[in-house]
Amino acid sequence: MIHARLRRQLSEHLDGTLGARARQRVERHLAGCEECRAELADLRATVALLRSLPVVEEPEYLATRILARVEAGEASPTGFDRLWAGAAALLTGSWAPAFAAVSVLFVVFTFLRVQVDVRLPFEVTPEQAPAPGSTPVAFEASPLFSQPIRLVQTTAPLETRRRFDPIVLMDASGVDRACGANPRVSTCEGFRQRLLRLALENPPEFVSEVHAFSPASQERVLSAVSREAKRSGDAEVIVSGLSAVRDPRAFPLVVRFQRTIASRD
Amino acid sequence: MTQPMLDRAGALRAPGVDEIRAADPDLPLVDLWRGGDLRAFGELVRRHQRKVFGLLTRMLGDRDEAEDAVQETFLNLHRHGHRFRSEARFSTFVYRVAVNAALNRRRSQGRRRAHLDEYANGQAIGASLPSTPRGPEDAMGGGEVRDRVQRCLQALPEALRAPVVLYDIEGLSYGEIADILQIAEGTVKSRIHRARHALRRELADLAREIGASR
Repeated sequence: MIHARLRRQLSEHLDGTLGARARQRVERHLAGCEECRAELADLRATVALLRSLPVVEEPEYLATRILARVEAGEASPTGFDRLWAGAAALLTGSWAPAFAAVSVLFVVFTFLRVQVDVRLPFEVTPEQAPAPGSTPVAFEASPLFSQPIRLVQTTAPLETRRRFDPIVLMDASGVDRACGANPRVSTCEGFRQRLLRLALENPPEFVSEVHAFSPASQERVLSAVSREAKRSGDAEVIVSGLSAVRDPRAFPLVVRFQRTIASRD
Repeated sequence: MTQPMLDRAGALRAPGVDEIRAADPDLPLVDLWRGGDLRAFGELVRRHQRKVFGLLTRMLGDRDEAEDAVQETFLNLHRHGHRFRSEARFSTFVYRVAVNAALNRRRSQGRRRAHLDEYANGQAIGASLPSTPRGPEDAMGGGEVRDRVQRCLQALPEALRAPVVLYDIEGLSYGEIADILQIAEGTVKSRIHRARHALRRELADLAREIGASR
């Protein structure tokens, strides 16, 4: 075992690259092992044979020929090479600081934009904020946001809630729920019922309330309310009520309700 | 994996980029060449062509093929020179390009050619030298002996041939070879060891003659 291990070190021993301890071990072993001594002698002679090979001289014309080929464009960088060179220059040359700064700014702005997108829905102005001492009513998972959306109590009028669409807002009574962008969450049940009542009892007010939402939210609100109306059998009544409203904004709502009525689900 | 250096405390450490730059005599020319100066490239070719030609002749075993491979090496170097970074010496980079050129050449020869070579090499290695005893000095100087050593080198697997040629013939260090072949230094040592053992088996008779003469 030791013999085999030390045998593998003979080549390095020959080159003089073993550490002091390893060298002493090999030398001690060599003193008592004739086989390894013979092998070392063979290896030494083999290396001497290799080192005896003469230096090969290149043809005189070689450099001239290479340069002629370079000048003839045979070694022109490819498109990929140019791209690589450009990237390398950007990363290592005098442009590197500028490139790094632009990259950092890009990352920061991308990150901030995401942050802004995520944070904005959760910002509430003082007048919309819960009364001092009150806490958010509940947190709900939302398919629209990675964080739970927050239910807050508020007395603010609906139009001021618009920019906070994704927040589920509750008025002071805690009964009347307004769910901006996310009528699908279960807590929006009250919100859908309220809008449904409004559509049945006061179509012009319903039209105004729907239009208080952003266009994207309008579609979600109408989808939720029209399906609720279809389930409760009130959809046709709402369509006729909306058709009588003298407000051009009512027409798309009529079409949306009719589409839900015509759909299979 | 350039050669480690001793710092003031006597500990081993790898040389930094600045140290390599300061120690590399080619860098001023490299900078000029990268700035578009073809004369500087010409000077670099003249400086390194002999080493590259020697290496490729030993790697490929054929002068004409080595000549083509040298041209290919320097054309590739000119084409991809921007990839050179100063973490290693320029000569190391040149060797790396040359070894790749040799390997590509061998691969492009195709399987049939490779089989023929293998057969021819096998025959050559199996054939013994003329039985007339010769003195070791004669053996060392003889063209036949050199041819035989070269044929034995050719018979080595490529993975073993490159390290042993770079170490024993070109005189590079383990670290430089590791850089060129992009393998670990330990692997370089082990391959050199295996290559020498394989050569020792094939050249035993010559080796003994030399051994006896010492």
